Amino acid sequence: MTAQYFLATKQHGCSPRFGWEVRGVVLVAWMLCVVFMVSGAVLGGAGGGGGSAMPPALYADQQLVDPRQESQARALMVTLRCPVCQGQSIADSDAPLAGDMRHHVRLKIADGQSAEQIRAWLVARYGRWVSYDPPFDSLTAPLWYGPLVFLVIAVAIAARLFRKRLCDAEGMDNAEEGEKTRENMVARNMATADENPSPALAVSTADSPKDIA
Amino acid sequence: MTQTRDISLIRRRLLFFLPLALMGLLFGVLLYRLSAPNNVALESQWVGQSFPIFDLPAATEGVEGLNSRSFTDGQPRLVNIFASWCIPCRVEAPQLEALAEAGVIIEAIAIRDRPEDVAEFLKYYGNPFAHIGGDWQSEVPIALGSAGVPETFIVDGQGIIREQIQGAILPGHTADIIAKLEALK
Repeated sequence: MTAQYFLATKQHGCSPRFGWEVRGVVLVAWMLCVVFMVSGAVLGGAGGGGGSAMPPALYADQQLVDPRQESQARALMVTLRCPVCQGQSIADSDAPLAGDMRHHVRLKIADGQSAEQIRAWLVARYGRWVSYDPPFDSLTAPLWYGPLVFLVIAVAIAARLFRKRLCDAEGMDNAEEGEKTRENMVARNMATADENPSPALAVSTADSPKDIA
Repeated sequence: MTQTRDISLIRRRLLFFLPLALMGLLFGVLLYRLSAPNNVALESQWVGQSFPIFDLPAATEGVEGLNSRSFTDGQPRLVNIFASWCIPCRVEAPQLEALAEAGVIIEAIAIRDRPEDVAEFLKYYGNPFAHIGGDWQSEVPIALGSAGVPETFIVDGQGIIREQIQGAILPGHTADIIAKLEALK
């Protein structure tokens, strides 16, 4: 049923139910999903590192006894980058060094240190890059503003697209012409309304500013 | 009239493919980065600071453990972080031997290494080290901001880290290292 809707070409002599732009976007979104699923399957086995025969440190995988401290430690660990497998946090990484870092983070939390203290301790040694929580300054401002800017641009483009598509017949890619066609349609509706009054038409005639006395 | 209609038709067709082309470009970039992740070669931010305080037991039988207190005895030294399971560490063994013979004090920290594996390594590759501390939870590398093995730190007589050498020490570097340590005396 959805496929029929998606593939339908013409409707009411106006633009197709799903225009080319919408179909293009859906196709692209579908491709994105496929790419990410495939790459996830391929790269899911990444991690590890080091041929160390030693078992993991005690608190690498063992949780703290106090659940509040454990959730504090966990919240911190997902925001710390693994220095070996740099695309992962130390919570996710299989690297032995990441296990040792989890061990030390848990010990420090159990010792009473705050998450921010531990983060600062690690940043002082590994650099700002080890934290997934970049501070807001002149260097990282684009990171924070970027999505907002892109959102505004996207909304502006979408608004323009929707205005253009208002009964956009083939060959007409001009908003003005679209408006003219709309007015013609309204005039035609008005002509038929004299012979056949109905509440729906009353709404459409009120749209045109000329009609409001 | 038909001409303008044709041109605008072509324009619409091109515009239709534009988002797809942009997405294709984005995919290309993302797939490239997925296959070749941007692994930054990390440098320790602790160079210039005092060596972290630690007290490590002997890494294996027949060697002495390492205490950071000994770093403030006025003698500059090398601190070599290694492991028996680390291949480049085997590559730099001859260079460390040469440095020890030239009178350089080399302290070692064995990372995540079972005592029997360390003994095996020393038997096969020799022991140029004054002390070998066993660090089984990477306590010292984490305190140093170090992420790999082997790494060698040049430490002055007051226990301040002067330089970090990442990776195996190559034959051409030994003279340079000896000169740097002489300058720190």
